[in-house]
Amino acid sequence: MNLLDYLVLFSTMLGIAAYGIWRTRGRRDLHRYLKGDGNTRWFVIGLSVMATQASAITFLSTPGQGYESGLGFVQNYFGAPFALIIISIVFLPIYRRLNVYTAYEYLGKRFDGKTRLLGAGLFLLQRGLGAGITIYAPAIVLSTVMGWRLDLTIVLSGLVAIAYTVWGGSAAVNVTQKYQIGVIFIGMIAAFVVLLMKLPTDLRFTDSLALAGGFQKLNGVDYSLNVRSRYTFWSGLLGGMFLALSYFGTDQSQVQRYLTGASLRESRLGLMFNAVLKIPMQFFILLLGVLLFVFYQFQPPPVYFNDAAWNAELHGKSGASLRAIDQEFAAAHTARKDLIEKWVDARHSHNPTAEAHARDEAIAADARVQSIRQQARKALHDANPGASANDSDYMFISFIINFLPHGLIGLLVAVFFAAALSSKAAELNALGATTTIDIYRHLVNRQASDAHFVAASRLFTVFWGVVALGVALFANLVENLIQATNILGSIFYGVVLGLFLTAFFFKRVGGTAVFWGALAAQLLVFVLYFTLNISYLWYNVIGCAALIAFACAIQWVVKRSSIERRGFPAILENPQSS
Amino acid sequence: MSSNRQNSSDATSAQPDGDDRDRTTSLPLLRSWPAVYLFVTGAFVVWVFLLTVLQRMFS
Repeated sequence: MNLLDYLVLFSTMLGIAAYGIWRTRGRRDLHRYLKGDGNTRWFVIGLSVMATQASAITFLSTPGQGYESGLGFVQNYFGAPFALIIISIVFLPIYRRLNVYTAYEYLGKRFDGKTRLLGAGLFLLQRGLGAGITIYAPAIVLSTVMGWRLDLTIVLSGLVAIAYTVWGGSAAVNVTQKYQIGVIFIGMIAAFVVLLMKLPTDLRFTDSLALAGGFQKLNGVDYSLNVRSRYTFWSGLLGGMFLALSYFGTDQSQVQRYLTGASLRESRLGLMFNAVLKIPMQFFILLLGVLLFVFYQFQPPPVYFNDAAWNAELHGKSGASLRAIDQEFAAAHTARKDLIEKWVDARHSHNPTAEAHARDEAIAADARVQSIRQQARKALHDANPGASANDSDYMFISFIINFLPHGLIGLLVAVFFAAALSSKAAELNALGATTTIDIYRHLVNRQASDAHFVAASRLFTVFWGVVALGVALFANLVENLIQATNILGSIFYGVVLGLFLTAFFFKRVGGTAVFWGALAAQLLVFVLYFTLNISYLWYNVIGCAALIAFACAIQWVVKRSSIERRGFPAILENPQSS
Repeated sequence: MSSNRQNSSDATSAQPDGDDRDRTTSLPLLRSWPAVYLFVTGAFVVWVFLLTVLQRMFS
């Protein structure tokens, strides 16, 4: 990165943050601080919901996923449109009618205090732990590639997000997300165009697709019923729908975004905006990765995309074997490139037999290339057991650094920071709001003034920001942590969704039945998680269905009054609508 | 049970929000909400169809 890149990066990021602070100065009443001015239009809500979901790792990792595995990951989002329709019809009108600040406040109104605390507690647990990863995951990639200090990257990006979220609350998050997602769109489209321009001039777009298809990178829909396969049409549609229902419908970081709408109509249209655009957006990012794969069929790729980790060992005691792998890889790439050019020539000469033959040869040559890459990963791991075995997160950033012109490099790095800040700010905003409304105002201080609760909300936002920075600074096993966060989400989301679906559709089920049903369902999910080997998406369905079944059974079997007498402290039992 | 019923009742009888303006979408072609939901479903079907065609054409 040169001066121009840094200028683009800092002016974009700090400019947007400063504008957010300036636009939302002087927020002193709780409603405006947590819900904005109540005049947000559907387009801004739509962008805000989108920006909250898309974190930096989405834009860093997803192209790498497209490069390695093709388009299959898009199926993860197949359930999202239907989930958003259900939220628009069922969840949203209730939240707005009750004028709640948080989704868990509704649980308190519908059931009781302990169920509200359970919902809020599960959210704070999983989102609080995940908040550090939102900053840490992109920071480790960017600091490694750019040679920046990891702790400084984490602290600076974290402090910017904390500053404008604490200062302007929900409105600041909305205002900044609008421009951050603009930066993201412009940057990603620019990268896509540059990538297309960098492909060989005699390679038509249909040739690129044919090459990608030949290597099975265009397999976007798998209709098989294999429950062990991570992404299929059915797991995406059903499991993905439950995941999206839980995330968009009950996760406060999303609920808070669309509750800022000027009216029910604006909030609904904001959700429908995402229902239409979610799948094409993910498709576009994955296609970028697929085309990156095609690009590296002609341009020599590194044997391992994390150059810094590879080069560090290249000069160590394993250097000789790594250099030998490098040479072997370069030769295998050249052989594959020659065969691919033969394949493209056969296509252009409209000779199907020659094309099929050249294609088979190129696929065999690619298998050789992939085998050497595996060898390189193993050799690197042997040389440095602490080195990551996965370099897919570095594929896109490696292309950006090596092939994009200056200025655009700064813009693309700004894309990653914009995505990190936008999702981070929404998370902090939601964590602060939930702690203030569902814990502090509910359990500690119910009668204070608005100014007091705004101050408390700011304090809790800072608290969660510091927790996130702490997790990010002391996390040094990123792969395990990301995996742990995803597992945590998939384990809890189904049960949280079950709480809300029971509230909406099972009017006879009361708070105690649903509370114990939730604990039993959560236990069942834990047991199944450790005993079954199925796609994690299915745990959303299982957790939700189990909770509803248990809650209905408990309500039917046990007399509610006898349970409540040996239940909870009065303050947890007391339903109130604070 | 009574407190539950009370809560359920609270959850459905709070301030009304049935604004007339919320009943229409204000979109030029998709004026009713069922039309919007149908459009979203149609867009999903089109995307899955296009993905399947892309896969079949170039595999």
